[in-house]
Amino acid sequence: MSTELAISREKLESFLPVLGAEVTEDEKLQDADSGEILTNDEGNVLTVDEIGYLGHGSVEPVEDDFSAIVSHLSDRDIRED
Amino acid sequence: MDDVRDALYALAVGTLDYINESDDTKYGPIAREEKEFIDLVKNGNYDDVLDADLQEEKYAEIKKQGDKRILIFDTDNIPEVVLQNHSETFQALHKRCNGFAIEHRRGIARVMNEDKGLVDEVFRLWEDRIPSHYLPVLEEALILRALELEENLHQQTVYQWRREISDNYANNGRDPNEAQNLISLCSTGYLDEGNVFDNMYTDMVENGTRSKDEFKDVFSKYVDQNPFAVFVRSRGRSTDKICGDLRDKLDVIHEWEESPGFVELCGKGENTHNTIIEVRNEIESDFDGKMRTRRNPGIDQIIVMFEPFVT
Repeated sequence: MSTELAISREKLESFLPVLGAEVTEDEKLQDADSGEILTNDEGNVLTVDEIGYLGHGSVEPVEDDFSAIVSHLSDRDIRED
Repeated sequence: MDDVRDALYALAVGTLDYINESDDTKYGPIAREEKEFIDLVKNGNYDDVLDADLQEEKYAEIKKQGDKRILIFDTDNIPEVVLQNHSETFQALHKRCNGFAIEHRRGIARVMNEDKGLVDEVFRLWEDRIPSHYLPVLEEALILRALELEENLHQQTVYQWRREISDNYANNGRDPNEAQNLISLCSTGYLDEGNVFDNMYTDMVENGTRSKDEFKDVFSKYVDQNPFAVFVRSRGRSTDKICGDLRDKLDVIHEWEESPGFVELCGKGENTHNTIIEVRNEIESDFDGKMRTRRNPGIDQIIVMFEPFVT
């Protein structure tokens, strides 16, 4: 089995700059270069407490929910929009 | 070493280089902690890596979490300039890994990326056979089952993640109990090739004269009512209630269309075993049929089959 890297919630502030993102004062994620607030694939803004996965694509926050994480990672077109 | 270890190794070496370059005194630090960081990453015995809190000035250590050994490193203790210098490495890693989990969601991406057939094979068996609204639940249930096998999830985590699957199903206007039933049926293996539903499909559609839509109707009824399985949780219903449920199902199992002809009592986890044995002994005293107990030690599962004689 390959090694997996995970990030604890309290380290998001120091880790996210490595991915080109940062945590705002009101605990949202923003792109470090553009300042754009980062949203999930439904366009919703998540706070640090609500995130369960840091998706790829700049950084795409994914809700801290099993179905949301699987839906984000799955390449099967089986879910209603 | 794999990609994650390579990236962390680069970070550890970068930290040592930074400290050595920063040291402009004759009697500077001997960089013991930095060398230990490198050694831990390269030679340490660990399964996964986690960015989490360590005591001040500690770069990394290996800790046991459950049955896994985790190398913990602390980005708060690594100079910012070193982190920035390795930004490209970690961004490339982020892309290759298809993202990073927040701590307690570790394992999901790995199971999905490294599927050894537990998910894909079973999903492909059913994707054209069952109503499409079940497919997300099926996919999620199969992934959860793989996680239970490969990541040795705590039972409470399993229950919580099951709840998240059924809540999501309910958010689309569906009955969450259906989702819970489908998760349990999937977890116990009833959707695996050669098992109950596959045999039912073969009998009805492949060897029979029924249509795929007719199978979908029958399948939906089975998922809705769960007539041939009683699932025991570690902290759930009393023995009396379970016996009642089991007896109710045994009374009518032969009336079900395409009935498998049995009802099974299923429990996963050591805490369910005593309850299952108690229920088995209670039912056995006045049961008119065949009984068989089987165990799957790999997942701590016990299943008792009750096959009532047809009267």
